[in-house]
Amino acid sequence: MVKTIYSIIITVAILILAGVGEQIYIKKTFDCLNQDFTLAYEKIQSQEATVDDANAIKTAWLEKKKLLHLFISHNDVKELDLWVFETVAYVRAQNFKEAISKIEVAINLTEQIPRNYLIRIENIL
Amino acid sequence: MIIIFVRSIVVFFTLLIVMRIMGKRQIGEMQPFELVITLLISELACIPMTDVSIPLLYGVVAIVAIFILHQLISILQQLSQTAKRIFSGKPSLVLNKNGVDFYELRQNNMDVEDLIESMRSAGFYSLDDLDYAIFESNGKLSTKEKVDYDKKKTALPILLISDGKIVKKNLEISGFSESELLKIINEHGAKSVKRVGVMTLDGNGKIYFQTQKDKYETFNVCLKKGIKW
Repeated sequence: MVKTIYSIIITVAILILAGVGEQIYIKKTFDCLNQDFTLAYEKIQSQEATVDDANAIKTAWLEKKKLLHLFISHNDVKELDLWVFETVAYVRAQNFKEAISKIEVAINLTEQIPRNYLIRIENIL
Repeated sequence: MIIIFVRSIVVFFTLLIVMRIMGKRQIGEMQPFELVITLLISELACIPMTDVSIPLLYGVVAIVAIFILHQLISILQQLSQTAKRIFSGKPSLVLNKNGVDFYELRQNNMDVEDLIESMRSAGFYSLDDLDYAIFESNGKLSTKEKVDYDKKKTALPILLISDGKIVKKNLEISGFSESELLKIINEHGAKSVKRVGVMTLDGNGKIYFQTQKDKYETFNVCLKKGIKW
């Protein structure tokens, strides 16, 4: 019985630690993405965004995307993926009007998605 | 991760409560919490396996949550009888020397027909064959036959009245009319069919009769000519 109790305690401890780690990771990653996208938004708004800026957004997103697949629904990743790549394409084409609407949605998603993974009663029920 | 963990616990206990309320007829040879685990595990493993939009980790966390609950409940059951009663229920003595215990049957969402069916599966065909019948917490029927059971072996009994209702198809087989049946039960202390808990008749004319509250009795009646089953 002692072994069983230890196995329960260890498993619960691992789960809680991993859970807390996951929460921190998701929050930090999306905060970081939000900052990058906001920076890009300002540049697009002032019509100063270049191909390099577009590539920077893409690289920042691709770096984080891999690990995010582990923790969040793949559909959420896919949705953000779509808006980021549309933004990149419009910036490359110097179509700032379209690019700004796309990056706005992407910024909004970086605020919305992590909320779905927070330990809150609405997310549990 | 923690959300999936908490959600799994909520679903587990919801299912467990439902299974316990449903009574013993819903389970077979498994404790209620084991059945709940069996129901959940297969789904938990399958969904992330087949749905690629869900991270595999979600399935793993949910299965680990179920494992923890299983271990926890097993320990609680070893440590406390009250916990055992809460999670697995207790055996129900549904038939004793006074006859059928209708209250215990109802507690398990069963009726006399279910009891007779379970007895048949255990190799007994008449309520009169047994001194005791117990539904174990895993839904299995344990029996203790009467001392002279071998001598008592009778023709197959049919159920004429179950929980205050006439089983019309069987009444037709027995060859009795409703008025004749009513006369028999009146002679044995029941004012109406509603008062009768169980009444069976075997091929030799032997009747097993019990009102909802009194001890059972057996007696013989003459079957009409040519009536056999």
